[in-house]
Amino acid sequence: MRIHRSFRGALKEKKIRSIRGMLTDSTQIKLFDDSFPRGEDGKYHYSKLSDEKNAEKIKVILKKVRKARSGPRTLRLIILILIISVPVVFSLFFLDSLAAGSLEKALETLSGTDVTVVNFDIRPLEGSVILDKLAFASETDPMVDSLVFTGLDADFSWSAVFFRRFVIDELSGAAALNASRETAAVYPENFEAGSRSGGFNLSGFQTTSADLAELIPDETLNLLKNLRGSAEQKNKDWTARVNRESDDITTLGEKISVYLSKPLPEKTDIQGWTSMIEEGKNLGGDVSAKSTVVEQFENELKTESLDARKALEKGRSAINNDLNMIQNNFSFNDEMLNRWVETAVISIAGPKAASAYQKIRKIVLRLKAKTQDDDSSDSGVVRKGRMKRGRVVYFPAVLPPRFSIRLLSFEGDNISVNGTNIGIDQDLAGAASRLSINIKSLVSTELTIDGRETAENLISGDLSSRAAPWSGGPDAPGGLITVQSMFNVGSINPEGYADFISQGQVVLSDWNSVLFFGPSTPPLPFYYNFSTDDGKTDLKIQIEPKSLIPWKKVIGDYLLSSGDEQLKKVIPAEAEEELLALEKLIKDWDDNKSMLENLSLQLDSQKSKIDAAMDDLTEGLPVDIPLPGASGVLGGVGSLLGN
Amino acid sequence: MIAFSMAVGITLAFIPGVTLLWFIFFIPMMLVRLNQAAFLGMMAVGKLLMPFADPFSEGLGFFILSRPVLYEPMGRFLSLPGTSWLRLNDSLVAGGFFLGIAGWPLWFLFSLILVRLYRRYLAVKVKTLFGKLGEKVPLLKKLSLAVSAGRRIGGAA
Repeated sequence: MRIHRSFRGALKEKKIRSIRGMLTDSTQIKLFDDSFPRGEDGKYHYSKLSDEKNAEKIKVILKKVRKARSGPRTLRLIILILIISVPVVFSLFFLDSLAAGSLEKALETLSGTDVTVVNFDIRPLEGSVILDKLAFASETDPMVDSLVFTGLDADFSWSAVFFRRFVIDELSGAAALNASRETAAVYPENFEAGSRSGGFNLSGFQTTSADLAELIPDETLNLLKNLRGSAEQKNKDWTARVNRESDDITTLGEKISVYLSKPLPEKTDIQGWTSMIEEGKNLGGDVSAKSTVVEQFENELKTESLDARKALEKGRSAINNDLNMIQNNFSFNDEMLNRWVETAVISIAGPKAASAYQKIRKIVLRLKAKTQDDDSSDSGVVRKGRMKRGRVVYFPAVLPPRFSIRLLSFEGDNISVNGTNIGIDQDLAGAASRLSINIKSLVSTELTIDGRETAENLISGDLSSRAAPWSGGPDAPGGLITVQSMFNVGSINPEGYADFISQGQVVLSDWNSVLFFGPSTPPLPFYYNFSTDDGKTDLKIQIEPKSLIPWKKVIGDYLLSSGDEQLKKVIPAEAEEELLALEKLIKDWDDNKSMLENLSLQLDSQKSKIDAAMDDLTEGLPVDIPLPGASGVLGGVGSLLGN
Repeated sequence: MIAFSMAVGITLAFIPGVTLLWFIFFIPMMLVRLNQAAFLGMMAVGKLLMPFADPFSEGLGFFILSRPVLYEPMGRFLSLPGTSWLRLNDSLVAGGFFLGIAGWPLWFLFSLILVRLYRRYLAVKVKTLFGKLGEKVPLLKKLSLAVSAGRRIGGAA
């Protein structure tokens, strides 16, 4: 049975007094004094008591004394140091790899593509962060990095850290676009390969000939309708009359047949001969009269057919005149063309502008949330669990910005990014954030974000692109788009909507071959003015009238060169119908002509029969029979008989 | 000592965790002579109850921080390096800190009453229970010893 080692050695007077002071029971004090007699050296040494029971008691007392001692507890101190130092040591050894992994994951989530982080080195004592390479893989080619930063060097400010702020004094490095990779990119799980091709894809933009159909004016259609109506009526009347005459001629033929079948009268029957000749003479006269009528019909047919042809020609002429006017660039109503182009442009610019606005709005809202994060006055909402933070009360403290990059500089062959005071808290930084991005041969932009109360705009800037490809879809126009624009966000209302205004010039050029678009299509410059106010968007397109002149020419040339088929597409269906009806009428007139020819043949046949019958009568006629006055066919008979 | 430890635990429960202020109080308390079981136990219990007290302490903190008399002094104080980490301009932190420090005598008295009530009505039963459990499970015997660890030699609390 041994006492604790801290009591085994010689104890000084001070410690003995301290221990005795902790004992309140006189029995315990006596026992303690007996156990620690004073030695010759003036110090107290433990002397084991002979009585085992008392020895056990003093051991228990000393154990309690030890537990109740004052001063630092070594074991507890070691545990505390371990608790504090283990995370620190762990961070020193593993911070770089952990930070690299976190950065890679965060950037992959943000960009949606494979991100490579190489040699991420955080040097807390030097106040710097070094990154050898940061690459964003191309979304279309896994062997290409669309954006690469190399030699990234960030110096952060320790003085800002003392104020619970993170300020990078300078962030610099080199940048490059479309650099080749050594290994294929491993895209995130939700990545859709090749989902986005280069340029702007604007679906839903279609242009058809129907847009031009309304170019045929209503007057032309009305004219065609009148011509068709008039011609059809005439044809109807004429046909009715011809049918009636045809019936009469048929009846006449029947009468002639009956006449010819009659037996000749006796030679002595002068009355019979006379009436027979008279009847034949009348029938001959009827045939002659009908022949005259048929001749009249033939004349009318010629006239009406000619009129129908003239009507068709007139209708065609009216249509052609309209088309010619289009082709000769004179019939284009400027307003109509403006509206048509405007519709096309809105369908091009509208979705993109709306999408761009939504993106900008999200950025603005995030910035606003960041800016007002600590300053919000309503964060004291009771949620499940403990509140994370309360309301931050403003005091006139001189603080650095919560996050800022004082100087930003990336330079490369194809890209340069420069900025000053990039971050939030422009009021604390005392200056606006300015960012300049210049991607050579594609786009350059200057962006200013100023969250200070005195600032005129929260965000303002300009953007100029250099002939980026765009497409309206597989069968829709496309080409290159060049943009020169400025934009600004004035303020954000409590609902989160910003007063956003953007205006500038857009030039669409290098058209692909759809409809009348093609390489020879002139560029289409237009001005736009896009604004939002309380969530309501407004887009106005303004086209210079002069810029439409070459377009009229191109459309006219297209119509001229596209041939009848294309021209017919431009003619409205109604006009086409009217013209077809007129063509049919002309065919009907031709059919009527053959009907008249039949009638004429019929009459000729009847006339021949009558003539033959009269010849027979003449031969068998008694000499003394007086003949009725005859004319026409029978006139010869009368003359033969001496009348 | 148990009541003192409990009062310190309540104070630290009021101050939101993961703040420099909390660590400034917590680390020394781990180094000085305290009834750690009472300290940590009361702090844990207090943390569980804090969601109900937070709205009040936050309101109190905002009321205090909004006093015009504090405007200039707090501005100068928060301009000192390192003070931002204390987050004293946060109404929840300031309210919790004020309630914890200013209310310490109250928490001490409250803890004292709790200890006396415990000793009068529960101590024997709990000791017996842990004693029985300790006989079966040696690990629980340690808890039994921890419960009575704060008693001064000679029996005084």
